[in-house]
Amino acid sequence: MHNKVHEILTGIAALVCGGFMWREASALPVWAPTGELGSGAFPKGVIILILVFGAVQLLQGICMRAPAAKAAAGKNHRMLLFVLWFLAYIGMFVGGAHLYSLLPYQPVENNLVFFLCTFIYLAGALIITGRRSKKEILLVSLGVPAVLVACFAFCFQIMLP
Amino acid sequence: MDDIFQAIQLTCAVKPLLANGIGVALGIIFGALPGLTAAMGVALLLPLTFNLPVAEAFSALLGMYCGAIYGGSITAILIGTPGTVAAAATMLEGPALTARGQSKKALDMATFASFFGGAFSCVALIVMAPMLARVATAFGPAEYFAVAIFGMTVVASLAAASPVKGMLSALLGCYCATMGGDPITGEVRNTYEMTELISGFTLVPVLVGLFAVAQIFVTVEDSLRGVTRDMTLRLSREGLKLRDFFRYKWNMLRSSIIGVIVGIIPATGGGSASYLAYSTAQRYSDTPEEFGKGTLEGIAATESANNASTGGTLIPLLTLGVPGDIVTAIMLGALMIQGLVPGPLLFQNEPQAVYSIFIAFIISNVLMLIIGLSAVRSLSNILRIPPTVLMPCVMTLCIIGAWAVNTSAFDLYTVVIFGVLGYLMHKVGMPAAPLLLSMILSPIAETNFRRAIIVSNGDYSVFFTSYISLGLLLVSAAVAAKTVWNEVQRRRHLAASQTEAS
Repeated sequence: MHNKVHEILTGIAALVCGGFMWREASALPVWAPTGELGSGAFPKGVIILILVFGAVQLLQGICMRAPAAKAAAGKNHRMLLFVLWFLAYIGMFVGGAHLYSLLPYQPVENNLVFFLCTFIYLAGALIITGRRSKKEILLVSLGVPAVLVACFAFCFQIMLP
Repeated sequence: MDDIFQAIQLTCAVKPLLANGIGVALGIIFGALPGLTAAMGVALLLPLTFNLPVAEAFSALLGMYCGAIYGGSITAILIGTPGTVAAAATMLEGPALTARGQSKKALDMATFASFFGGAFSCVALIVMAPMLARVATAFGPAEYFAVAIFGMTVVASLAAASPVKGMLSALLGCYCATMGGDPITGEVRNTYEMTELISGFTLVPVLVGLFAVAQIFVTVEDSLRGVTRDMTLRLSREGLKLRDFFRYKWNMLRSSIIGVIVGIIPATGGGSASYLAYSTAQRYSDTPEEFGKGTLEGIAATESANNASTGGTLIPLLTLGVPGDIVTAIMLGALMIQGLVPGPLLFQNEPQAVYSIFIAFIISNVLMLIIGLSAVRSLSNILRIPPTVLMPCVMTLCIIGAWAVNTSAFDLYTVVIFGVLGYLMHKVGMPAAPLLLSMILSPIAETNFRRAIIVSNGDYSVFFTSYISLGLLLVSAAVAAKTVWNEVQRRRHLAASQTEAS
């Protein structure tokens, strides 16, 4: 299903990304001092093709006759929240680990950061996705990190984030 | 011969068998659950195999692969929702048989046909891979360049409803692959002054992001929108009779051949194989009018074809180092992590590892039959877990999987970037498979292109003087031209129908 707005946005995104890529690759040499192809030849060729196909995509979108589809509102906010909550989960790891490393001494086991972050993430994610049973939320958000720590850290000896 | 016996000894020990069984069982669950895919399962299992020996690691991974391709048929038959793309064609017959109270019969047929296809592809892999590897030893940089270009062309042209988006996705993959050190001069490029990018993106976090995190977002979004599946599982009592199985032996053989051939072609995979086998079975059937109304013949064709494609995809991976689909792209990473360089020399330098992979693949198919027949009823109960509960839990597995590779925070950022990118790509109808496959194939293309030019002292005709290279480049050009032609025709039809409508 082609959506005119999506088609145009894809073309614009490709052109903008291509522009940034070109800026980064502009200093790379197309030819090496020995006369052979340099390190910039392939990336620049790829970027030119991205710009060309981005322009084609944009033109296709503009010339498209189909009307722009209405965005499905309503549940989109919850979806956005779910994605942001995932980003926060990663942030919790990085921030939590940083804070943990700042402690003068590490009083508890390292896996506690993972356990706590995952507990908070799962509880939040389940609420965002519409789960209402407190018992279920508590069981899943406490049980899953406990099983993961037991399975990965103790059985497989894999370091957890 | 010693290598074969040692490989049998290694793969038939308790631990590899256990790893294989767990892989198959998990694979069936991943394949059966809509929203969880074979690629996701293999990607999440991959970090667990880092510390394992080759036989155990590939037993688990191949078990997951075979199990997931088969598992897709369970939901396709029982609830009319294919767990995997490869099982989409099974949905044409499965729900109708379930509605007639023949769900057990249909599932048994799917299990036996999957085993038949899988076993056939094992034979094809064992016979064809060493032959192709011998041919490939004559390959030089020009031939490898042509193979990579062929793979990328097919990937970009087949993967999208819109070839322009397919190309953009493939080009984005090519660009991502250029980040880090230049393969010839070692010069650092396109790192945006990030030291973590000097060695480029690590493959596992990229594919976990693109194929696991993005898929989780899509599934959660579907659930939030109310696109839920009916989880009332109706499993009948009457199973398959041996007579029914033998009745379709030629159908399964034909479909398996189709599956292996389609599997060898990059980017086609089980989905295309099963549709092609289905239409071929209908054409050669004595009762073509039964197709679409619930016939075991259709299930026999689709399931044998999609499982036969698993062995087919492994052939170019092991012999040329060119992955046939996303799962084998992940397997490529697994081979490299184990210190094995896929390609023709793998058969000369590491014969024991190659035989271990072959034997593990055979065992996976046998275990798939055993677990499929005995435990499908109990495994089906996992389908009752709502996706809104399951997906956040799988998300935590994605994080562990991505972290386990290098224990680096940058890998977590990579998962986020590619997860969100994959989700946005899905939203605008841009396929993610070309991005990943190009990320793997484009360094092969660039390195071998530049190497060929250096070896030939700057003579660009080197790509056209070799018959293999010339043939592959011509086929690539033909595929690209056909894609453009199809797109022009499609747009012309669309414009004509819109004019008529207005």
